[in-house]
Amino acid sequence: MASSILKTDKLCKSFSNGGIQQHVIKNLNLEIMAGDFTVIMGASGSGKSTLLYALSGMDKPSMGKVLFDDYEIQNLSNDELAIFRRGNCGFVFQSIYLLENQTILDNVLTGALVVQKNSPELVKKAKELLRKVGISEETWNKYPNQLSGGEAQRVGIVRAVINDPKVLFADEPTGQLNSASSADVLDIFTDIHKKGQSIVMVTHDLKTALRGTRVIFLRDGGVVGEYRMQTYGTDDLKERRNGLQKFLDDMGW
Amino acid sequence: MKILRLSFFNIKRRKREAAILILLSAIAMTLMSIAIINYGKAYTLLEQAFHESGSKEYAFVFAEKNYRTEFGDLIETDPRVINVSKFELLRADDNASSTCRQKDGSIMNLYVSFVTEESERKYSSFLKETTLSQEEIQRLEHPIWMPQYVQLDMGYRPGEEIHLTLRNKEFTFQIAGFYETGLFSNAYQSFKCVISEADFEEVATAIGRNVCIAFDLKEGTIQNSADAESFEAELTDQMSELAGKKITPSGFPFDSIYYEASTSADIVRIIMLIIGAMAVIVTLTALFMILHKITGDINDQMEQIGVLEALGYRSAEISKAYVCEYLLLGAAGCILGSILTVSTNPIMTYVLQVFEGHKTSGSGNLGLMLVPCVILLPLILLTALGKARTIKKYPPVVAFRKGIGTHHFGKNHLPLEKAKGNVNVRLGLKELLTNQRQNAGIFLCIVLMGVSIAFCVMIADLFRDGGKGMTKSAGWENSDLYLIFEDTVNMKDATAEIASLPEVRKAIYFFNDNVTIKDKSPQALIYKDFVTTENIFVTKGWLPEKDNEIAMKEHLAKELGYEIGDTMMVKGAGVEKKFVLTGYSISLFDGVYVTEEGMSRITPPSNIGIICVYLKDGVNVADFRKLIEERYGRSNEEILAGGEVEGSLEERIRAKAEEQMALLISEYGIDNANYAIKIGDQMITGGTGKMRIMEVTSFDELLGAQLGGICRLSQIVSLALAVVVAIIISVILNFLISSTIRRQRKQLGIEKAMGYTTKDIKKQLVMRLMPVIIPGVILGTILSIPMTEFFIIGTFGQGSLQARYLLLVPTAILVTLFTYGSAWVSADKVKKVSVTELMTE
Repeated sequence: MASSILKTDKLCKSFSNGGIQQHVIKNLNLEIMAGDFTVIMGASGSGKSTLLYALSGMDKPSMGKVLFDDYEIQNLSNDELAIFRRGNCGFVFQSIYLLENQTILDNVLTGALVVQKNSPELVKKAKELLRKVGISEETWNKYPNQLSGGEAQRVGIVRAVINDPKVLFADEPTGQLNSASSADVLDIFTDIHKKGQSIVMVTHDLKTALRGTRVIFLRDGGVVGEYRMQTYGTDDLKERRNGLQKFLDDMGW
Repeated sequence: MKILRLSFFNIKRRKREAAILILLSAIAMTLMSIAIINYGKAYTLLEQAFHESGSKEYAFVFAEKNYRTEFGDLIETDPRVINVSKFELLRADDNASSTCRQKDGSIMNLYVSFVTEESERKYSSFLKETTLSQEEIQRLEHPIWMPQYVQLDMGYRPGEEIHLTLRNKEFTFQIAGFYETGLFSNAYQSFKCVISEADFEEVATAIGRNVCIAFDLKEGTIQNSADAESFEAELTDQMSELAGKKITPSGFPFDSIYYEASTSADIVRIIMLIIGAMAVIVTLTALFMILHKITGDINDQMEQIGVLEALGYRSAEISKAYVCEYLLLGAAGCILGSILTVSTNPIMTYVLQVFEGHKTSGSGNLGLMLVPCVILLPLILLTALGKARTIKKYPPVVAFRKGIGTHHFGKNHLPLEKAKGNVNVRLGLKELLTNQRQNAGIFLCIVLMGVSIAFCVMIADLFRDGGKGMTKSAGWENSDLYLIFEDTVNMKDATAEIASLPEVRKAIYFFNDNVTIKDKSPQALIYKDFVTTENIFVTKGWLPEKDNEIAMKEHLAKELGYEIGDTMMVKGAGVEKKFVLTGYSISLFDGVYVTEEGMSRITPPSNIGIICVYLKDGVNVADFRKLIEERYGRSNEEILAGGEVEGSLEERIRAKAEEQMALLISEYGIDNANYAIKIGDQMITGGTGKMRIMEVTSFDELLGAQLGGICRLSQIVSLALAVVVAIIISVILNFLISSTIRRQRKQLGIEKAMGYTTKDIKKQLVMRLMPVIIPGVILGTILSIPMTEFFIIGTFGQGSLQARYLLLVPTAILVTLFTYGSAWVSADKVKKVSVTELMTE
């Protein structure tokens, strides 16, 4: 039986907008199991990204608890959260966010060196990961603006997993990619997941959501439904799509 | 109008940076204005003081016993002389003979002279300044009107008591107020005080009566200090003829407006030049900031520029918005600078008054403030125009892509693959190496700032402790105490006796006298053997060892046209002999050094000298001074003045015996006599040894009187400038780091998301600057050495002062630490960068 890696207890997050409090997440209770590929879906403004950032320690909840591997993170300071994120979380952004002034290899190592000491093994690992996601050696010394969107996002994934995080978080990772590039990127996520990586991903794209093993649907800051699937590639894709589509239809998506 | 609106929009958007630029322009403007306004005032202030006070510009002072009516007639009948007035003045023969017990109890040498109000009115308009009422003044028992110096420099106020010791006799006066006097307002010619007739007679029992003849000269007679010297020499020669013997300038001191103006005005001018140099540095910094800011703004607003161009605006029109923005900021800086100048100029006027010891009305020509405006605004215009023209490089399509400049294709400096040590240091250094042009600008700024701070620290150190920093370079011995004995005392015996005291490490004596070389009459310092001196040095050559050797300041040697090895004719009291120049001495004054044997070749041996006493470690100077005064008693004059002595029978007997000894000395000129009085079983013994002492003083007291105020003020001004420069460094670093954080907000947010803490990123930001700052500070500190030398030579002459350059090491370390601290604090803004800004929802 898989253990819980992430748990929230009455999680709330609100923002002040022109003096008016907007409650984006409301008393949300959620448990995410280790090894799961959890996909968070919902309409725009439903609180998907806000939840993702709260779960990953990128942002602090207004109220409630976030237990990461049974460790409460909601009361940590910004710097404590940064230190916490180093070893525990990997993050893939929709806007990719590579460091523009750093080469591809340095982008990956910048993420790694904050956690680990430099060593030939670390550099070897970075290069192997880059190779695995299809970033060839001649690209390593290029700068992000010399890559295509798909290539850049693959580098982003390598940067996110270089420290073997307990959970890999992804916020619309294919949001800015064309369909071919999206498929490549999603294949990488699937491969990583199959090797046991826990993933929490936000998306509003059905094709992306199909890669998950559990789909959580958010509405008005609360979980209104969830749908479970087999590991991607182990069941019939058509049935998988139909099942998910039906779930989403039921959710009014 | 649209352009102007865009400029205002940019200013509003970056209020903080705009404020910094306004501040820098204002500081530059203020410093420049102060320098320009006060540079010329250094000399005009003195002329103004003479003019406003109605003081005569020249005076001869004759000791009453030496005065002959023919001297007065000679001056009065000189066709160049006008407005002659003659009055009596009390003044000791030498400036070591009068001291002042200050408010804090410390003793300082204060060379004073005294006149009555009636006499003063013959010399000047006697413009009094006081806060006391007429009734309050009348109630004062011993009222004294003192020169403005005492108020400006020593901080005395009307109504306060001042304790003056004149030849060991203490007089207490109550300050009625202050007045402006042209001449007799310096430590060399004495500070002339106005007292009541009764007090005048009382003071006359302690110090000598003099006849002062003050006068003006017809316009055009004297143009400069050299003319004044020639005039003095001409009249002194004529008086020598009348007297039938050589009259030396030290015998009949002459004072003139040119002598009053000497060193302090030069120091003021040099300080104004330094302030001007600071203004240039701040201006360059402001221009660098403008270049940096425009570059940043263009990068930030690239898309907006593209949009404007797409809408049909020409790049020249868009550039105008930037130019206009900086002109507006520059103009605001000039306005603020003008306000600051008007507010600070009275302080500068006060500083000048303290430096020169004269108080005048008005605060200079404020219209000169326009000059800095005329310099600053075109510079800002040209800088902004030059940089803003780069917009031409960005047609709309390029601009929409944020310009090619934001795309990085350059060399990958310090790849992380080979990183060792702290990753933050590595990341900081990587960024540093990608901004070479900015680094060059920062380096230049830091070098200039480093020079300024190190220079100010050196100047402050030279003037430390009221001038004690100069003691190593003063050119005379800086012993713990100076003892001046009656002229009946044999200097060699007295020195040997003092040297034998258990508290004394060493005692040596020296004389001073004037000699004549060509047309100059420098003061000669005469030592038996210069090997025994501890504070007289040469920059080149050696100090005199033989009787035909002489050393002098290089500046004086050059003026006389001599070099080391040259032979010159040196004239003493009538006799002229050849001397060989052996070395260039370090001294604050244009004196010469000869041995006692050498001096005796041209002048009969003198017996009035000064004994320098060097105490052993751990001996308290004040205690020893008390001991000396107790052991060697009061002066002959004081003892002869008598008075009732209170105390025990023994004390009264001793006092009476000493009075008899003093009488023997003064009437028969005996060198030594002893007494023994037996009363019952008690034997009371003593001798002339008990009454030999004339004055005990110290180097600090002398220095305090002559340079104390100027030194303290110079030190304050230097340190204030160093603080201003430090603030500017801090502002620049803040500006640079703030704009870096603003421009790289996203990148820093990404790093935070990866787990870099605020402290990590602060380290990176600081490391982007420190490798440029450290060599900048080191180079700046090194460059401050020639600048300090320039100041010293310009102010005191070649080889006069030796700065403690070792101090530059801690200074550089402190400046580096300060910049590190400033950068660290400025980088704190990175706290505000939040990873949630990366959210896309």
